[in-house]
Amino acid sequence: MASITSIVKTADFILSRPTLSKIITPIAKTFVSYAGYREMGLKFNDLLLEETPIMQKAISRLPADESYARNYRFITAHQLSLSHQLLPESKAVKPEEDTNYLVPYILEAEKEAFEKAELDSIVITK
Amino acid sequence: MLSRASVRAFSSSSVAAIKVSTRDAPSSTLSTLSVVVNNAGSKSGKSGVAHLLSKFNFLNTETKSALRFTRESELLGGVFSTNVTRDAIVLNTQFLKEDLPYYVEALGNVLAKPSFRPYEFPETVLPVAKAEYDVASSDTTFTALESLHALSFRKGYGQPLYYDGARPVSLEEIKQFADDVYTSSNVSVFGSGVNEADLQSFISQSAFSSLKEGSSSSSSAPASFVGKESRVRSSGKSVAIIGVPVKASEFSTYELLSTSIGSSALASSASPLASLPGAATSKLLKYQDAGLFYVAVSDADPSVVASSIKAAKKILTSVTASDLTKSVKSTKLSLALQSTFESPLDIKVEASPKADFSFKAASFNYVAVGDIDVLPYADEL
Repeated sequence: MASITSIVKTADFILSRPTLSKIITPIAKTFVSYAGYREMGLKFNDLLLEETPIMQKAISRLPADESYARNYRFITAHQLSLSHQLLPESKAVKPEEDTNYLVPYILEAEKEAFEKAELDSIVITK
Repeated sequence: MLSRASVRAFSSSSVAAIKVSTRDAPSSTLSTLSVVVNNAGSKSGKSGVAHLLSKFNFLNTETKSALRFTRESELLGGVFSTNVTRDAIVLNTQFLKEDLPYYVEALGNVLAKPSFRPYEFPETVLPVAKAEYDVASSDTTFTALESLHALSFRKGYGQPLYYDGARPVSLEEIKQFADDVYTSSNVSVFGSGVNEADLQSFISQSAFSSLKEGSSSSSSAPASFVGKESRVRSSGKSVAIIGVPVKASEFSTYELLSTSIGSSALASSASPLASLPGAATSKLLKYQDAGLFYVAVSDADPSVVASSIKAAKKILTSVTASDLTKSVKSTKLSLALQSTFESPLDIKVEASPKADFSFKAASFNYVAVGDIDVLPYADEL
């Protein structure tokens, strides 16, 4: 699985090229609207696979209020799923609310994990 | 020309503020570099904040992660440690002679560029600090001494040495404390087995030179209190301590008293305290602005402690001037043994001392820890 670090790098690359971002950004927006997670009251960062040591570490480092809001969104989504409903447009997560609240923590945790792997397999040449 | 001269003057003045002491050992391949941050010990700031700050040392800095520093240090064959005293935060490193620039750089980064990542506090710092506190406070003698300090000085030296978790300390408070105390006027560097000129030049190139000046707070003798008593019910060994806060000018007199009745710095089986049942010792704790002289008795059996502390009190009151004169030489030896390169003791021992101590109930502090049902009260001594 691609690491979040590499995904962020790719995204930064796309955004840095005007032509490329002009093509990709509308496609991404269409994808997000069809994915429908915002109508379930979720943010994109809530969907990331969390059953990995790195994600567990990143989630544990979230500030208390962020962590509470994340769990609250999960409960909302569960309730909507159970009752086979979607949030009305006024209550759905707005694009500007769909922030990358978790990504900085994942990047830091991945950086540590990569550094550890690098140092574990270090070879001394002298 | 003018601008060059001013640049040179600036760089030399900012480095000159850091006190550097070295002793070279040309034949040795081992170097020791210690950084003592004065006025950063547990006497300063909020209780426990100095201990927590000391546990942040050698963690992530802006230039290097904690893991990388640890692994690199392992590869270089160096060791590093940090601890907090009542006066200072001390950082110790030991390494092979050729690795001096690496460790000067590392120590400079610890003081000048700590990163204080928010997650380090709950993940690394708090568990380590709590473990250290738990180990220390499982020893009833430590608990008794902490209580004795609190009775004798209240604030400053009376603050607990370690973070006990009773009142939470926030990361912001630790950052603020680091900002206040990690200044060039507080920092002294002690290098042993290093070349002075090399060390000076490495320090001027390292992050040490970016430490801000800070205000050198003049330390004054703290207020001290006597005639107080504290009793702590606790499991483990029973301990009884008689303590007297001492001014810095009285160090030599109390060191003489300590040696003449049996000092823990110079143990002798012939001393009066050594003949008592139970581990009875005396010691003068010498801090920057004040000292604390104490006689401690500890034993698993509280009745032994009760009888020994009464006997120790009698020994204290019966010390005469001739007893002190007899132990002048051994006191000098004891002081020489306690003096280290990092904290040299400069105490003159008088040749003909006077025994003007008073050990009435109102002139000393008394702490009993353990089985306090059996241990005596201060006025029963």
